[in-house]
Amino acid sequence: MRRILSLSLLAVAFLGLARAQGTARSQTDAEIEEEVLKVEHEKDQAMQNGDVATLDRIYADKLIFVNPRGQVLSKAQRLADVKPGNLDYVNFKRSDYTLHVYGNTVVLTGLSSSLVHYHGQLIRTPRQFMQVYVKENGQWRMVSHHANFVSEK
Amino acid sequence: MRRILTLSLLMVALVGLAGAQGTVGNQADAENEKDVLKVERQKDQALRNRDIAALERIYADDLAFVNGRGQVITKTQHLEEIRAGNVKYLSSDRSDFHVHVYGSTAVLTGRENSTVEYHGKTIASPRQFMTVYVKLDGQWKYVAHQVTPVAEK
Repeated sequence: MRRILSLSLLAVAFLGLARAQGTARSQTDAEIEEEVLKVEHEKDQAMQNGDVATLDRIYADKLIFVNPRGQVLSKAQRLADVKPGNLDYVNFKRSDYTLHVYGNTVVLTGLSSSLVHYHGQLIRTPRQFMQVYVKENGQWRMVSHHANFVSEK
Repeated sequence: MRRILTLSLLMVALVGLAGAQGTVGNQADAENEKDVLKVERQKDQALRNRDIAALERIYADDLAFVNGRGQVITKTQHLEEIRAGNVKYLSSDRSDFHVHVYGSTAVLTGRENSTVEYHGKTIASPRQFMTVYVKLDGQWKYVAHQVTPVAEK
């Protein structure tokens, strides 16, 4: 009985040490891209619907949001900004997505051609954007967003 | 003797399991921030001195770089602009500088007030920037950068 208990504890000890080495199955880049794009689409839908609850879940608490005017918004400011009346999409168009995967970090770039009313002003000029997602506690969170107006050539 | 061995194994098991819970991000965020800032200073020095070899080492091969005109350029294109003298950093002046560390990822943001000569045109107006570093194979690599002109109020 004592021998069985000793062997069992030895097994548990080795299991604990093995987990400490990080033996969890690693994902492929393609799987990670799929996960992040799913969250990105949820976020896009939430922006169009003014769904602050979903955005609150996806945006990291220390989100850094830089709009095409070079203004820096905190998470709270950005959530206030997406309410209907402040940000209203006439249509939603995004293209040229590129994802760079680095384990638990993904840098996503793309072009937004959406027609949008922002604080009463109609924005037609395309915007090049870059977002950073980080996986925290098993969930992908958007930690930063940065956008530029694309200058005419 | 057996009781001592059993208790010892139990302790090892518990320590192993506890260790497995805290193995995410082995290096403290403060230490990571310090290391990233060191590489950032090296990068800034390399830009001022047009040190292509140093930039080649610091920039990730799949660098995502968006300039103030909203143009997406590759590492090769950016290094060629510097090599050809099309981009010259005439002074260095930053403000509102923040570093957010997420394990082996660091997001740097700030206001760039420096004077730059870009294809013969002097740019002195402020730009809001975001830079992303990721630790790859033990080295901090500059993986993404975007800069947005700050609109006049």
